[in-house]
Amino acid sequence: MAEKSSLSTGFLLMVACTIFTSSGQLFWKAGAVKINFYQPLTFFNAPFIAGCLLYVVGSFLMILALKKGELSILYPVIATSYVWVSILAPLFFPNESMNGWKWAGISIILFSICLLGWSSSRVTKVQEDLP
Amino acid sequence: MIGIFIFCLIIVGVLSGSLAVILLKKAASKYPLRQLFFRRIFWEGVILFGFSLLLYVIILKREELSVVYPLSSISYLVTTILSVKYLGEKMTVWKGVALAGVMLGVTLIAIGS
Repeated sequence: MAEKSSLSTGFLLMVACTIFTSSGQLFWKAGAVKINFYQPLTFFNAPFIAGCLLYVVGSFLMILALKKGELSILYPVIATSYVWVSILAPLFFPNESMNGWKWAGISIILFSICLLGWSSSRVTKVQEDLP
Repeated sequence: MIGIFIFCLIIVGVLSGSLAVILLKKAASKYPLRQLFFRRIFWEGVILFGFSLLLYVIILKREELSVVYPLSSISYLVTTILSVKYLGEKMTVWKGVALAGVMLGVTLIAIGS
C-alpha cells in the first residue's frame, strides 16, 4: 500500500511540476521578444527572470517526484504541460487560439496519462496480492 | 521541409534531455535530498538538462512549433527506452499504449498550432 500512495504522490508532484514549468514557458515567451542574443544584458528582463525562477521551482518538484517511482511511469506526465500551455496561451497571447485539433490532442494526452496511472497502480496491487 | 541542421539540433536536444533525466533519476533515488547538491551525477544531470533547454529555445526561435513539437515528443520514447535499459524498469503493454497516445496527442496539438 505504501508504494501505491507513494506513486500517487509522485504523479501529483509531476503535475505540479508541469504547472510551474508551463507558466515559466509563458513568461519566457513574453520575455523572449525583448532578448537580443548579441546584447546579453537584454536577458535580464522581468518576465524572462520570472520564467527562470518558475522553471527552477518546477525542476525541484520534479526531483522530489523522481524519488517516488519509476521514471518510465512518471516522465510521460510531463506531457500534461502541453495541456496547460494550450489552454493558458490563448488567454495571454491573443493571436493564439484553441481549436478542434488541440482539444483532440489534449484529450488523448490526458487519457493516456490516466491510463498510465491506472495501469501502474493496478500492477502494484497485483504484486501486493502475491503471497 | 526543415533543414538537416535543425533536425540534428532537435535530436541532440532530445538525447541530452533524456539522458539528463536518467542521471537525475539515478541521483534522486540513490541519495537523500540534502546530499544531492554535493553529488557529481546530480550536477551532470542539471548541466545536461540546461543544455537541452538552451537548444530547445534556440530551435524554437528558428522553427515552427508545429514541426518542433512532434519531433521533440520522441523524447518520451527515448526516455522510456533508456529507463528500461539503464534503470532496470519493466516495459508493459500499458506503458507502450500510453506512450503512443501521448505522442499522437502532441502531434495533434502541433497540427492545430
